[in-house]
Formats: sequence, structure tokens, C-alpha cells
Amino acid sequence: MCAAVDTVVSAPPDEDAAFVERSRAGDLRAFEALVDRYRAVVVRIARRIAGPADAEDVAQETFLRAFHRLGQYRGESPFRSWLLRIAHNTALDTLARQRPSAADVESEEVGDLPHPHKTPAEQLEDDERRERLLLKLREVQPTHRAVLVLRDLEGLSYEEIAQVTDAPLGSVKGRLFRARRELIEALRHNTYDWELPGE
Amino acid sequence: MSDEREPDAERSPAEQRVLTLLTLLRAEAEQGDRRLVGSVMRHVRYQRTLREVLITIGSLAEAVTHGVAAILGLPRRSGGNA
Repeated sequence: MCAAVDTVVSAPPDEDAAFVERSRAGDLRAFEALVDRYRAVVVRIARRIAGPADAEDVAQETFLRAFHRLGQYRGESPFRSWLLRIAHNTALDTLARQRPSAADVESEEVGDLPHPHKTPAEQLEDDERRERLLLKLREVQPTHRAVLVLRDLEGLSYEEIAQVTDAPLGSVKGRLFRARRELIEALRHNTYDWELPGE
Repeated sequence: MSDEREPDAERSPAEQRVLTLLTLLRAEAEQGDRRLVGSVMRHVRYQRTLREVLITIGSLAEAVTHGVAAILGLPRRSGGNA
């Protein structure tokens, strides 16, 4: 059973492979096409793992590392998985360098999402809930949070998450389970009403 | 806590609620605009140019070293132990 919504950008593997091949041959327009194709998912993952302040830097570092490591890409896994693995590692590296307090006090900028069926007041409430939820998500342990982001927000399969995080399938499932538990705990310790039912 | 547990197989009401709440985040506006692409490509071009310049300088330095060694009649380093 899979409840995750597939929000990940998917491109035909052959198309990615062709762009990778051209990039290796020195065609920067081909690499630019790859950056453009995957920028949204890389920034989202960076933002949710490392935080909004570092998201752009993490995304940029991800693509630069990918460019310099294109020669090491063997094509054994899809290019997207390979790239997201770099993004995941770069985000965790950045997080490890951050001051512990920086993430806690930082305000989250949320995307402006006008909804045709909602009043401005309802929209404002949604934005506030989203902002509070993102801050709560930051309380989940980084390696657990990364799996939750990849699964429950980006909709990756367990197998792809195992490739991205370089962890066995069983560990991925364990981390996801623990991430959800940690998020539930974080939401329970809050004055805001999340309408969480008991166990 | 076992790693063998299927996170999506048996969900508690609280887990179900959390997944519902997370749909708020899934609906976030697309992140990452075209400026990022421009910024990445500027760095890529700069680093590639820098790399080529450094390689050229290295090659020139090697050629000069060999030239000076030839003029002075010094033996060329073979790089081996023989």
C-alpha cells in the first residue's frame, strides 16, 4: 500500500542518459537542461532537510558536485536517484555544520498558494499551519526526517530511498516509522491543536 | 523497535492524521526558480575555465622544466626506480 503522492519529477531514463552523456562530452547546455529539470525537487529536499536558509546553497552545491562527479556516474541507477543521493548527503553535511539553535528560531517562508475554493482567511490559516508543521518537522532527527521527506512528501519508492540514502531497505522502513513517531511526539508537545487522535 | 515493520501496512489513527497533515506540505508551491539554474551554470563555467587555466599552467611549467633540463644537460626524471 502506498499513500505517498508521486510528486517527483520523472523524466524518461533514456533522455536523462543522453543529457548526461552530452554533459560529459562538454555540452554545458545539456547539463543546464538537467539542472532545470531537477531544480525544483532538489530545492524542496534541501529545504526540508537542511532548512530554508541553506536550501539554495545546498541545491547549488548539489549540482556542482554532480557536475564534477559525472565521470563517476555509471548509470547503474537512474540519474535522478544518483542526483538525489548527492542532494541528501549535501543537505545532511550542511545540517551537521549548522549551529543547533539556527534551525529552531528560523522562520519558514511558505509558498503562496492561492486556492480557488478557499477564502483569504482559510488560506491564511492553511499557510500558518504549514509554517508550524514545517517547524515541527525540523524537530525530527535529520536522518529520519530525510526518509520522511523522500517518502511522504516526495513520494519516492522504498527502493529508490534505499539508493538515495545508501541504506538497506529494512533501515529505510525503520527510519520512516521512527520519523513519523517523532513527528507525532513533536506535534503532541504543542499548544496548537493538530487534532491528533490517541493511540 | 524493529526495522522489519512495514510503515505503510498498519497505521495508527495518529499516523494517519500526520499523513493527512503532511498533504499541506506536499501542496507547497514549486521551489527553485530559474535564477538557480543561472547561478549553477555561472559557477560551472567559472570552475571549468579555472580548471583549464590551471591545466594549461601546469603543462607550461612542465614544458619549461623539461626545456631548462635539456639546456643544462640534466638527466630527465623517468619516474621509475630503474
